[in-house]
Amino acid sequence: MPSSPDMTRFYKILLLIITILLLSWLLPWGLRLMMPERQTVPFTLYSEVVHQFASLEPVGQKNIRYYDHSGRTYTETQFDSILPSFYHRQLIMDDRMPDSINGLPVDAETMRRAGFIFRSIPSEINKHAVPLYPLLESLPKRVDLEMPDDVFRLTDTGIEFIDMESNVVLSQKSDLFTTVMKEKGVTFPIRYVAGNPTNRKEYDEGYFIIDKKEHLYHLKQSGNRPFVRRVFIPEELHIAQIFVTEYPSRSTFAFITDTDDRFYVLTRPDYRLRQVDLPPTDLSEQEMMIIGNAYYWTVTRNTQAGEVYTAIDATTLESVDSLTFARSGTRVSAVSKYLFPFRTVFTSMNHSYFKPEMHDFSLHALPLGAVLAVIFVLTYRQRIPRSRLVLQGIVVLLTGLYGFVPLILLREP
Amino acid sequence: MTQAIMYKEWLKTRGMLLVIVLLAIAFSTYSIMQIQRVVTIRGAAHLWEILLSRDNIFIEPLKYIPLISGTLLAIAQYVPEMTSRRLKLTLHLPLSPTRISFTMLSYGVSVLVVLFALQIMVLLVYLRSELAVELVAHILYTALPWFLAGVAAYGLASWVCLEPTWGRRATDTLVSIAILRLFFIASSPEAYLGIMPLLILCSAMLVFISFISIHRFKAGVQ
Repeated sequence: MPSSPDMTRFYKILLLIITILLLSWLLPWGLRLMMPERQTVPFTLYSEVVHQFASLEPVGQKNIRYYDHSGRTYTETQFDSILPSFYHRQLIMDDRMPDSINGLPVDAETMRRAGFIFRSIPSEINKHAVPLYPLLESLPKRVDLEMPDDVFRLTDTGIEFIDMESNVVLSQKSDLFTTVMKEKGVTFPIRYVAGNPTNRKEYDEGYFIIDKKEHLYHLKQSGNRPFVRRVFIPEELHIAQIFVTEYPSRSTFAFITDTDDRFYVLTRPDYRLRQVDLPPTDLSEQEMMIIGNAYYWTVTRNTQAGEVYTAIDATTLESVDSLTFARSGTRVSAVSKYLFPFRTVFTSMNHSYFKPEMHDFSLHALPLGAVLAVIFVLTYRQRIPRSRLVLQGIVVLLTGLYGFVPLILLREP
Repeated sequence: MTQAIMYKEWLKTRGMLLVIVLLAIAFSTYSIMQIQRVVTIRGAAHLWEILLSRDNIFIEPLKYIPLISGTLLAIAQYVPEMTSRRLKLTLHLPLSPTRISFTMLSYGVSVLVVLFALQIMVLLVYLRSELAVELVAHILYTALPWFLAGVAAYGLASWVCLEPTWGRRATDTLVSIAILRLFFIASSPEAYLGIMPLLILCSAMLVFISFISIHRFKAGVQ
């Protein structure tokens, strides 16, 4: 057993480190709490009528400004009319629904079916998920989809269905699915599974899975039978994420990203992979939203530069326009960089884990650290041995307030 | 001598241990009954669906019980030592002060670990009867930081109780609250899984942080 002085010295150093970490978390957090700031970005969509980005933005407490990015302003009703796909319910209610858009006839039902909203947030990707998946019947006897009585797990050698009520493996169903999957070329273990395990959707497309050989397969249950189909993708493409869409238009199976952060659409029913003309986007770190209609997709990406809007032609999937709402520096960060040499966070919007991370390293905080170090050294030069005083002075210089406060408060008499 | 110290600690804490055991039984039973109620009324499939689709793990009532247990045990063990400065006598027993402190702290943490292990075992056995192993792991991995917080709370509360001055006791309390907050800050299920070995190590190290207070006591800090 180590001697008491050794243990005490160890714990004093540990306490100093812990306190510095805690203060580097709490002080910047406290400052943000005291200086709340709201950064708003106007709600923006690409108009299929004026072929421009159109925005609405609150002005003052009550007013809203409607405008497009060529400089025209609109009234609220005019704004509905330049975004008919998005506001079609309002247009129907006001009996202002157009018969055609861009020369092509339209009706409300077509508009409703063509519209979709896709949203991906990093914290939903970077999280621990339970590796059990309900496989819905994709050809239900009733109109509505029903949640199944079992879930499946993927083992090193096959697929196993477990009855939820009895908590027992259904060996017959498991064997059937495993056999069919193997016959179709699936190599276990499965590396990746993606699906929407809910019955709150119009239809079910089951799961897309990637096997040991990096081959992509479509797996679903149709009429109590397994449906397994290989989806051929280029050899050089390595899938990072799959988002099964199941949108009312039934024109896509999934959105897919690869390890080079390119974005693809897997079209339905032909399983064709088409690249979307978007700059590389790492969805495990960046938030993305797509508001789509039959004409354009308005893609919003949260980047370092700010909110980047890209308009994509829904037919060609080519980019037609883009717009950036630059992120302005906040008052908090302007003050923080002079006060704090870094800040520690334990949770983040980018993931759902407890993960200590240090951010915002700032050399601007060094002058404050130097002043505090001088104050510390001058105050304690008679009471602390020189070698320890120098060491503690360096700690204060480098950590600023974070080191200064515990070295004063937790100092031994 | 070690056995005698252990016996002394038992005499001091047996009343509080009864309270802690009752607390653990009451809240574990309540959590199990809550799960059983869902199974009886809506069926086991509903329980599985909620566990798979939401962040609910059904044993949330237990969340702060280990923390409270650790704190109560430390109070029962060390507040009597500080009243009338009995710790001075304890540290003068014919054993090294380090050994004495280590024995006292080891007693407390051992009792807590055994209690928490039993509580986890009871939950494990019940949950396994209703749920697949993946879901049981999901629940217990989420709850494990709560139990580690109980161990850390014991160490930190001992540190505060054994501190001889009120001013420093207040500072230590604030630091302890901030440290313990970290065990609960991430609310997503299994949020601490990746950092679990480090969390276990930190909790184990915090058990003996009161060496600082004992050292200050021995040095005669008033």
